[in-house]
Amino acid sequence: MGGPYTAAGLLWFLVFVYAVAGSVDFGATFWRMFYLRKGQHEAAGVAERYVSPLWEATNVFLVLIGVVLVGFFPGATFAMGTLLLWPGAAALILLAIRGAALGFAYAGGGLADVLPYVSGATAILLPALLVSMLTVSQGGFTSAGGAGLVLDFGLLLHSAREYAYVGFALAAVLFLSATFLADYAKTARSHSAYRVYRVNALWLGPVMMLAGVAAIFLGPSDSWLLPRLRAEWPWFLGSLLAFCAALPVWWWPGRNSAGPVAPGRPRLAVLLAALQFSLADIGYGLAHAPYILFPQVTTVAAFSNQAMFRDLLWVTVLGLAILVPGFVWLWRLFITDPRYTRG
Amino acid sequence: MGGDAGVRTLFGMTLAFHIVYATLGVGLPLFIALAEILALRRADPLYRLMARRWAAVFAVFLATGVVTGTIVAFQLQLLWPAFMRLAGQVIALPFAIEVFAFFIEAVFTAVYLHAADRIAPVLRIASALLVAVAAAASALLITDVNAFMNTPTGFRVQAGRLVDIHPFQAMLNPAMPSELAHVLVTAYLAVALVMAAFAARALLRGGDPVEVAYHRRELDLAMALAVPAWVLTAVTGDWAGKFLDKAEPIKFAAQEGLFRTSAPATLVIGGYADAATASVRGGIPIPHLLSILATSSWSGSVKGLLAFPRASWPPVAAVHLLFDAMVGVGVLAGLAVVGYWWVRWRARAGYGLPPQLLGGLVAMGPVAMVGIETGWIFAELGRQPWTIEGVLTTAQAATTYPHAGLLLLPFALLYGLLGAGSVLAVTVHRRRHPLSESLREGGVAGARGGGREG
Ligand code: HDD
Ligand code: HEM
Ligand code: HEM
Repeated sequence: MGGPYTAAGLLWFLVFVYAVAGSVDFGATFWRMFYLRKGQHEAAGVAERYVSPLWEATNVFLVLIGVVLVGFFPGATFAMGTLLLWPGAAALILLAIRGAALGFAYAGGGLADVLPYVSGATAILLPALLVSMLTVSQGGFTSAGGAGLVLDFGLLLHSAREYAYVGFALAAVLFLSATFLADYAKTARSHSAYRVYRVNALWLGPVMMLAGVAAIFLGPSDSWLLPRLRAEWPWFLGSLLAFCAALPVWWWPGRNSAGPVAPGRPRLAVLLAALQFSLADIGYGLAHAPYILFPQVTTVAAFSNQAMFRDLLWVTVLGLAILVPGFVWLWRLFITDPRYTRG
Repeated sequence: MGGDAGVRTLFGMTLAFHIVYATLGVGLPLFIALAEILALRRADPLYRLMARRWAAVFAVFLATGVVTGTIVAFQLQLLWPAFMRLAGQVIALPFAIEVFAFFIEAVFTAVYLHAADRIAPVLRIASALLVAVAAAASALLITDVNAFMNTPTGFRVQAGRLVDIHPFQAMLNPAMPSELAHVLVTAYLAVALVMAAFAARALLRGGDPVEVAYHRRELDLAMALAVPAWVLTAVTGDWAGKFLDKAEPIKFAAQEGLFRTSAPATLVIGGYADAATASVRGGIPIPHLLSILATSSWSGSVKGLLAFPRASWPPVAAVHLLFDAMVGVGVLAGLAVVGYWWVRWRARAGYGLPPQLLGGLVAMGPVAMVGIETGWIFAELGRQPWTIEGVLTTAQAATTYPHAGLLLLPFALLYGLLGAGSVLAVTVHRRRHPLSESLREGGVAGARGGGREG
């Protein structure tokens, strides 16, 4: 192990947290728009009650990833900064519009009619952009132009792999958020919303799995990544098992079931989905670990110095530890407190 | 200006926009927390109402501050990759600690805004205070990076490589104490004056006695906060200036438009500091004052720009005028603070505030923000041609990506949208929830005598 890989592990853990929390956040913003349009206000309301207080805390994770990347892997920042200027700028603009639309909605008033559409539409574009950074980091889309690294957009836009990844990201965002919101709706005893999100979670799960498999195998067959992914097969098998185990859970009669029509234990489904994603995340992370950006930036070469590594590690771990009580309080105030979730 | 002009303009525009909301984000929660405390201590529902009404405004400005701050954080990496490569190795700690301050701010903002009615009043006040503390901490930590750029420490450059790296030493750089102190108190001063401007405008419009009483309290609270903030602004500004004289003599000489090293040195207020002729055209000279300010002695010696190579001068004329504009704002703020409390004291019982005074206070709101903007642009421009003083020039720091300047337009449009949107959201909120209605809902109307009490 040693410095670079410990740092990469911590960074990858943060990416995982943001991937899950951000998925629920973006997905919920989208579902709110979707069900407002269809006039299903109960389903929209459940999504809104989740997003309104919590989007800012989720957003901070994104910033944390950027900061930790800079501190642990200054060399990677340099390459990523040059390479991702345009997609990065596009993502920032969308992120800003979505956040502002969510924040302005607090003031209410006539704006409240349009703002959900603004935030919902931008929320569904963002995962596509963010996942593209993953595709790019696998290599194959860069050319070393006169000004250093340059992203070859033409190549990226004609790549089936890129579209498979985008498809996977969208399905994953919608699947995770639907699973989570089903549980949230159940806590809120919102039966109709629970039924809606339960069905969504059920059909989106398989779609996501198909897109994920496609994303892996659509790469060039001589890719550096594929054999490394194959070598990590136990993690992916575990992930698949967790996914399969989550399916019957939706038919279990729950203890305080949300009515006779819709059975299921959504809390268990959420936990299994988290397990599924964490296992896949570890497998993928281990396979990708030697390179931050293939082939130009290796994890070892981009690494910061030992002094910064040590101090930053302490700061990050300490900071996360201090935050845990805060998150627990948020969780109890906004996720499990029926006085809030029931609206 | 080289090929980095577009990058500099883009980043400057982003920061200039962010800083408005960031400053409001630092000051408003303190104001809200004070109102909450007063509501509890004086059992006065008007203060609770005040906290609630400003919380809605805070929510809007905070969102704008958060999203523009996120842009700043990533633009730093996209536009200044060479700067960030160095910063990552030496000064990453304040960035990281700052993120945890953001977390704390986000957590307690969520609690304060969305759960206030479900928690005990003490916890509510604690939440508001924690938001204020975390906001101040995040501002101080990011400013610390800027202080590092002014006086870099905690590393050495050896054959193009960074060695001897001490992250905590970099964090505790020499410019830190004075710069952080000045940034924090000026943020409080600016926000106090902005709040006072809102209250003064409402008083000019009039209303029923309870509404007047409400806005009087608002104005008193804002102007009470402005008193220590103003005194400390002058004290810390003087401190920062004396520090500059020692640590950044070029910036100091440029800020004063001083070309020739002199003892005693004359302070020139205003005027065009012409680098070509090495002289200041126009302006008001005050003999000895610069020596006193810089060295605390009647005829101390102050270094002029000509003592340094031409290539290391910042744009002198702009730096000098920006500095004077900032200090000018400080002088106006002093007039406003002293004028207000003088009138207030003169007419303790049954006081009426003259409309001229209220009008002046309304104008002071935007002027205070001008002080923040000119202060920052002066500090940044005054460091040119360096991004990290003596280590990395701005031209070296900028991205090598061609056409980065093309991003100016989309971001300018974005900021236009965000700026207009935030103002619109606040306006719509205020129109939807006029004070009279909130008073009725809160059961406050008629409970109090109205305008005659302080
Ligand atoms: C309401 C805003 C405001 C007001 C009234 C003043 N300042 Fe200021 N000043 C700032 C807002 C500001 C700032 C925005 O906070 C700056 C920009 C960068 C920084 O560190 O703080 C700053 C920087 C700054 C610096 C440069 C620090 C550096 O570059 O590291 C000096 C020397 C002063 N100020 C001095 C003064 C003096 C002598 C003032 C007279 C009362 C004064 N300021 C009023
Ligand atoms: C290069 C400079 C800066 C960077 C990189 C930066 C970064 C950020 C980021 C990433 C956020 C959003 C955090 C979140 O997601 O919650 C933010 C918000 C904020 N920033 Fe900045 N910022 C900069 C300059 C400043 C300055 C100079 C100040 C104050 C003097 C400041 C004060 C704040 C505050 C208080 C917030 C919290 C949001 C608010 O209250 O409005 N920032 N900043
Ligand atoms: C929030 C208040 C700030 C404002 C309004 C501001 C404004 C500016 C402006 C106008 C420039 C362009 C200077 C020029 O082109 O000559 C600039 C440059 C820059 N600033 Fe600041 N700045 C602020 C705070 C900060 C902070 C806190 C940091 C550090 C994290 C920072 C980092 C930089 C960098 C890296 C550059 C580019 C290099 C340079 O021109 O010096 N700024 N800023």
